[in-house]
Amino acid sequence: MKKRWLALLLAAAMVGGTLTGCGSSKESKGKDDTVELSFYMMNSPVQDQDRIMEKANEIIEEKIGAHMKLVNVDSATYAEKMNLMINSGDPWDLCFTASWGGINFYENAQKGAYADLTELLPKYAPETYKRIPEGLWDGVKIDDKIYASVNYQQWGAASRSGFRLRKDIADEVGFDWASLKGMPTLDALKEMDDFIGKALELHPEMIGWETSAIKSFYANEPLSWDMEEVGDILTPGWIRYTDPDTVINQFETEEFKAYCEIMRDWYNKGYVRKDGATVQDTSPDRKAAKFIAESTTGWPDSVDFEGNADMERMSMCTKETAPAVGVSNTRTVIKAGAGPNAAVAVNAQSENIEKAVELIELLNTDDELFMLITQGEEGVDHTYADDGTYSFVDGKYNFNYNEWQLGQSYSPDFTRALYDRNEAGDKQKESQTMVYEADKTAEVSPLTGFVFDATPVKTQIANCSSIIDEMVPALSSGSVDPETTIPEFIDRLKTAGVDDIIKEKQTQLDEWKAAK
Amino acid sequence: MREKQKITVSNVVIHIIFILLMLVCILPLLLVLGISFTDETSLLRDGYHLIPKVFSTGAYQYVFTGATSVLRAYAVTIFVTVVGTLCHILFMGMLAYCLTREEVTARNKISLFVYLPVLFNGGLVPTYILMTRFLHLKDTVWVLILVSIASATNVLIMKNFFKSIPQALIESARIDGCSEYRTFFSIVLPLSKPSLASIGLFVAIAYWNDWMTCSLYIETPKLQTLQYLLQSLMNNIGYLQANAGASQSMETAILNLPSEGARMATCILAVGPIIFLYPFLQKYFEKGLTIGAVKE
Amino acid sequence: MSRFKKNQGQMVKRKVPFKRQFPFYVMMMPGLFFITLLFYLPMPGILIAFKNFNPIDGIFGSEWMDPLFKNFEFFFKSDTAKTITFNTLLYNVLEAVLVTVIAIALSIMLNELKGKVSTTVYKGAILLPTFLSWIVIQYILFSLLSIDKGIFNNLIGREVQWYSEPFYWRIIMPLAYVWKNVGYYSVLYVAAIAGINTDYYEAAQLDGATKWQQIRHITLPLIKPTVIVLSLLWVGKLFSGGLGDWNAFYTLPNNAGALYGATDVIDTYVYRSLRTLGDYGMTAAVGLYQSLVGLILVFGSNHVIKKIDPDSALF
Repeated sequence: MKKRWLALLLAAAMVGGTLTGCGSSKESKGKDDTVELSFYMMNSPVQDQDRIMEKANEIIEEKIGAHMKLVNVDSATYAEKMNLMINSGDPWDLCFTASWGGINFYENAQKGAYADLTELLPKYAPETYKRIPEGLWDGVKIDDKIYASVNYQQWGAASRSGFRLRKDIADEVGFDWASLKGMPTLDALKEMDDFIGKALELHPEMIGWETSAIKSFYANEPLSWDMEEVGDILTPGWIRYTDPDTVINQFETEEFKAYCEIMRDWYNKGYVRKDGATVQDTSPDRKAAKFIAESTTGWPDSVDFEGNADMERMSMCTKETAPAVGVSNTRTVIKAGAGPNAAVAVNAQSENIEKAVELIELLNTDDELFMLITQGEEGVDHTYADDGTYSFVDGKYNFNYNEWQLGQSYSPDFTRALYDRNEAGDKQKESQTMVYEADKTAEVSPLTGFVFDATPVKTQIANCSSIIDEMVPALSSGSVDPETTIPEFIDRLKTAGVDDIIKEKQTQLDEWKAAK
Repeated sequence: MREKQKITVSNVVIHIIFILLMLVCILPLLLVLGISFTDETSLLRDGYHLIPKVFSTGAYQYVFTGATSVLRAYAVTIFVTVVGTLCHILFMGMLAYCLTREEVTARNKISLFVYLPVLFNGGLVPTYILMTRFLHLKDTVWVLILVSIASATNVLIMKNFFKSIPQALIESARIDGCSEYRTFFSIVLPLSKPSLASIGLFVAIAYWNDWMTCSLYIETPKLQTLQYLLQSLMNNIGYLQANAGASQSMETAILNLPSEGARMATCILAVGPIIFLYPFLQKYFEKGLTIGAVKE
Repeated sequence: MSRFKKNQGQMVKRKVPFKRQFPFYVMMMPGLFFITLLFYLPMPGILIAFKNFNPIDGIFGSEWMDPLFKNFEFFFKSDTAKTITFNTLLYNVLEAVLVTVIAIALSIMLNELKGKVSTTVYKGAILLPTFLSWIVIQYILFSLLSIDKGIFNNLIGREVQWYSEPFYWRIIMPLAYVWKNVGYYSVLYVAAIAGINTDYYEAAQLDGATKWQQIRHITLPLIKPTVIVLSLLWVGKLFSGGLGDWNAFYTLPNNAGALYGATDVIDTYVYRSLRTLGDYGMTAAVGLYQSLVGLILVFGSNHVIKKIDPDSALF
């Protein structure tokens, strides 16, 4: 028996040896000297991927002598899988990264998992580097080093929030929606109160305003309240644009109180869903065109530009079933999180870091390649109807609209996305041009370049986030009375150490400002 | 014991209880079936009903537009389930049987060794390291089998079943000159068929329903399992909605995700084969049960 | 019966030559190999609970936490630690007792029914829910309980807010659990009852014992070992990963904040608090705490069982 235990111990020691982080990545070589680069992204299973990738690899091999192995990971498990790969030293070359949804861009970059691209980008990906506004690069920097290549999207980088309302009903009631333009969010909500009330009298089967358990119009939308998150959006600690040097607890503000009171009022009046604190999936309501008003992050709005197709319909509806008008009411700002909103990182342990950066450049500059992978082949996978509108062919290759993870879908000549070949397409191009122009002049967030290191207050963050998860949906859907619940909520946060988090964020912010 | 069944009050009560239970268990599944055949706009308008208000097979058409990959996924899943279940039952069964034998003096210590992992586990990271960097099994069909090939719980349950086999039978086999291996394979195994079959069924369900392993270790579309394809239709919506702010493309992506009906259709496609197979398996159980019952 | 046991007990103490034991070790080999491979080799991962884990340095190379138990802090400092520990215990005990009692009752009743067709149909039906994954059950529950489209609210004609009232979930959660698992355990117990020698019943019938007496004095005592093993396994899982089924607690109530007081167990709490941080050290710390509590419980009950009925003990 002794021998058995001994053998066991030996085996354990052996594995132990390999468990220690040697972190070497084994690169499987393709035929001849073509290197194979793996690219991980989140995507649902894709039909016919082999056919498209074969064609794509012909281009990639010819241009940079490499092969790309595109690996789709289910989006629900992507964050977990990628973090597992990083934390276990499993080889990979490129991956989609972001600072939301548990993908942990900042944490992984701080750990040293991503390659430092500061020197490599200008050298191997000059066009990619040049095209992107400087503010976005600052967003993916930690200690002045760039850790990812930003995927500049066709939707632009600057944010501006506002509302979308049913046009037909606004006309019916006689509501002057254009007056909401630029109005502080609180006033705008009060302005809409009367409108929603009248609208619901005429259309009792509809819902006034969207509330759900997964998205709070306050906690998930700092811009609407003229604030911005410091670090993760759901942890306590935001700043006001009017006072960007002071970190505040966003739940201890007048705005939050006032917002909850309005929602409580709306809840009592029946403007919002009774189960808004618990409903997860609002897409059935959206598809059924039930909402009278909703928040939106799309722009230019209907005041600035007539004919932005995204503003002329309610979310997930068509222009025919739910005609809409959009009006934005916030400033236009490139948030600190805009860079790592969608980016591509290279593994620091990869043997082919330079080649990987070359691939980034190729994906971002070779429009034919990018279109092939993201949209499939024209005539086979997508077709244009007689009136010029495009559509995807059922059961054929379909990238599930995930082009924004692979590379830049931004293109001033509109060669990197599908547009209808008619007036609607032209309108869309026109509106996107406005966005690109705005990106150049937009305010850059005062927090850009600052990265919050959560390590000293991990305990407090963990405890606060479960309390926030529990209380915020109820408060921001109006299902509880803010009079008594907000003080209770703040009390619980204080016990969980919210003030330590605010203090830590303030200290780190001050230090960063001083160093600049 | 094989006398003709008398109709007694207690029997009638038992029948009534089971008929009620049957309804409680079957109706929800029929509800899923009903929803999967309901037209999407009717679902949005009329809500959920057992019998579709507007009948439609659109949900199934949606799921089967990728027919080739669904069929291949069925093949992978069936292979993994069959091979995995057989290996699991064989290896764990042999282990459990030995742990019931008096001759194995260290059996209590070994039982403890088997049991401890129920309480302590190293977590995902080291397991992932083991599978990918030590065993190099990432992206192979073997990882799907290996991950669930051992279960301490099943060893202990089977151990208990083996205990009820009369010692005298095993003793007499030994006196007849049977080797221990033959005793196990030709006497113990056949006698334990019913219990092994019932454990086997649950091992099979576990293999059939496992999608997490595929999602973590499999990267080639060819090796994706059925449950992975179906779960990815079901799970993604929540994650995408919560993070929809990241790109306007996401709203389009959510819009193009399967409707509730399609999600229900995927449920039906996932459990269907097992439910259809069950009557055949059960016949085998019953046979096993009668063999078990006549043993002396 | 009892005399036979004593004899066996004496046999154990005799020394058995290794040659005689050898074939058994050969048969145990593959099983033990896989258990070692899958469960023991990853064990060093437990160290992560005490480390500031960092992928570049690996499990052994990462720095120790300072203070050593810092990763444990968050759980014990949380204001809900008591509630969720209570919930964890309550649900597990409640579910264990309900499932065991109902499953035994059903299996005895099934055994009484001699009609082949009916038992086959019944068994098949109560086993159906076992085939469903929790996420499917979540969809089913939602279609029953949804406030505007749900079947229940349509039937009673009122808008009951099932997802906002914690009280309902104190009942719904155990019910759903029993619904899914009772078929599985019934089948296990039917197999156990089938293993009982029919001679006992025939002898009892000759002595004029009633059905009820047969159940009490033959069936129940003889399936006792199975009941004990299953219960012990349950105690073990009680604190380690909530039966591997903790996502039942996460998915069933639709992750509704208002219900956390009634539905949160240790695992769901940990999952939720660490979702954004993604900190392996803190996750491992709570896991280790659960394991230790489970260890104490299992060894405690095993010790007691060994005193009462040595043959039923796990080890």
